[in-house]
Amino acid sequence: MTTYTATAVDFIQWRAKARQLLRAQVAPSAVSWADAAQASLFSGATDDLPVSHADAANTVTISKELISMLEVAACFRSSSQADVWALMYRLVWRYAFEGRALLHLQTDPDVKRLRAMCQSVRRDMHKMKAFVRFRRVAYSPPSLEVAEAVATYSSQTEESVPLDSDSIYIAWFEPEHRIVKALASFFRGRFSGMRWSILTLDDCVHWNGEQLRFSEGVAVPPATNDEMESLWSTYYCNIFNPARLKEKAMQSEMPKKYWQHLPESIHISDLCRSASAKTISMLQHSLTDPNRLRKKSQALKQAQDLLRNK
Amino acid sequence: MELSEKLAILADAAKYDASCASSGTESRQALTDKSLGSTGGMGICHSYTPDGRCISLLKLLLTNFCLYECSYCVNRASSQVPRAAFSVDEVVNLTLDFYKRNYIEGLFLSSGIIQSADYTMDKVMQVAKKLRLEHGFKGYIHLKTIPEASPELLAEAGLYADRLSINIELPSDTSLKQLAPEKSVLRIEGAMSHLKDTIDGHKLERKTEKKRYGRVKTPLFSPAGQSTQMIIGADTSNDHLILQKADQLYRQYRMRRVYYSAFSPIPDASAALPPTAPPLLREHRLYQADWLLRFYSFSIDEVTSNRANGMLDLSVDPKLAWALSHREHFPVDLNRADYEHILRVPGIGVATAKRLIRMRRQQRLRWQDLCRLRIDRKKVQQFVCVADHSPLSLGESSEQLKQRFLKPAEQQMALF
Repeated sequence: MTTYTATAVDFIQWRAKARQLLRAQVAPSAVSWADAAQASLFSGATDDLPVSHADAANTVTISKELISMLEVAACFRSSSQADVWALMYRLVWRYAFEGRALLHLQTDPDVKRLRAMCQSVRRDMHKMKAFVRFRRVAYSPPSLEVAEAVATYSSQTEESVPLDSDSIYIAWFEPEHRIVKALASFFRGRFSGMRWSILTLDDCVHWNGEQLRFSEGVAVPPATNDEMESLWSTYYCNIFNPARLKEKAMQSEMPKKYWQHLPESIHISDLCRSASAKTISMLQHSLTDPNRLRKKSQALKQAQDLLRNK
Repeated sequence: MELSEKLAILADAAKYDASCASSGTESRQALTDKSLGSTGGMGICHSYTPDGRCISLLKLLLTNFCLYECSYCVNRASSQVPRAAFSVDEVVNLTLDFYKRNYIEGLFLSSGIIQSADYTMDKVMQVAKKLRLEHGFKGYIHLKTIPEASPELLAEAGLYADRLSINIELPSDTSLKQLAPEKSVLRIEGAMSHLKDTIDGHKLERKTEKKRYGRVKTPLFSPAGQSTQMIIGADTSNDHLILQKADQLYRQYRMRRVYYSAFSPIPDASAALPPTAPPLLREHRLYQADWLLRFYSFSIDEVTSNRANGMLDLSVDPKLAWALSHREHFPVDLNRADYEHILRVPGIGVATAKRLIRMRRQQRLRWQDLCRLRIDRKKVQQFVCVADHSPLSLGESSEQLKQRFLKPAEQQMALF
């Protein structure tokens, strides 16, 4: 039995290879997947794929639900990317033969694994949308830090002037999975009128008001700071109600691993420690007479009458 | 006064408004005109404070100067807290600066009443208008409306806001008269009714235009609807009354949410309403009861039945409390019962009930399937029947059964 090898670095490549293999009706056990990023380090391993048969009878339709789940699962950061590709191909193959019922099998190990990976990636995506924090840096002329941070970002001709033409907003983030490319369109849709860059260890994405560009990851966060962060911290500390301390609830939604990205997090321990003292002082504070102002104006009026009658 | 000092004062003054939702509105984004902001789908919580509450919107008061004397409020006229006022531009710029750095999903703006209701409402509306029209801001805007303001101002505010809200504050008319003499239930509910009519009117217009002409010219009006808030523990109203009021508001004015805010100690309390520790557990039970009314087809009488003083049981959640006092409905055979009966089982929520219905089309449900769906076995075992499981003993009294659900500390308390 001939075994084929296939390499892929992202979902798009995997999908192309998987299509070819599926059309040639190659069983999952007959394919050996490899991570293209890894493979290039060792041997110049190339694909060994069957000749494509442009055979209409062999086309297989995969449900949108499965495709979107696979696209999400492809972002999963695994110790063995090859296993992930193999799992995905196995599921596609089984779907072709078992139909829609496949995804409803609650106990099947492959399906369980796929669902778990999707859940983890989706949660990571939601957290990245929430916790990416931009810092404003003056853009023209670009300072050294900015130039270093967006090293491969070359300014093309910018026909339309973005909203904030003299600044660039730079963020550093460490997502758990490789989700930067998947989230690029979300950030573009939200921050269309300003120049921004999100830098991570795996990939960087840049928007100049016209085009999204991707570049290699950077190893170190850029040295930037932003005065608005102190205003944000002021807001954070004052919107907190010390009479309702619930640290566990906060930590379950905002795990400590994200605190490095959030400038307000340095105040959390102080807020927690002083919460009960503040509550007690509010409870013991002397009460204000509700007619205080009325009495004050009455007293003023009496004093004025006295003066007039003198 | 420095901007940071104003921000500290006016954020501190705004914290007692529980609402923070940034979802429920139309989907839009800034790419079409290269502006700023996007909404749609689930709201995003950009941060969490140590009270477990999420920070989704920038929650501010335009000013905390106020003419009214509402006894429960930190900003009432007689209060001695430091006062401040933002200008319209300051709020607009703060919102944009925070939004650009992805700190917030949008703005939640309220205000103390200064000069007159119309003057204040106009200022609040100016902020939203400037954000939308001058800056093309597409993020979320939630405006608190003043019921005493003129209808024209309310009509314009809805064109810029995603959600409008008016606080009912207290569930009974007598307590509102006593604690907030300048407010009137008639005016508040009148404004809610007017909002509902305007929201519905715009929706209908848009629907007919789409059908007739294919394009829509009427603008959206407060697409995320309206919400309101009630303070818990400031007056003597019991839970039955509170839930009755909430139910009426949901039905009559198509409220999207009623928020329950435990009466919290404030920095400068009035002698007319001394501060107490906030009744957080009571607030929690009210939220659970609210969910039962809205999603589990419970009626108010069912939720507060068997409760002598009309107060919810604090030691167990309302659904379990109902199950314990209505043992005649159990055990529920999960393979045969319909959706409404399955929903009544403690430990089975809406999502699980739907999944069970889907699963049992293909197979008979067994105990293993419940475990796989991650249902709380301890909770469910006395109330359900599946192919290979029946409740261990039906003879156990409700009191004994309840003991098993209480935490050890509460069990001790219940004994004394």
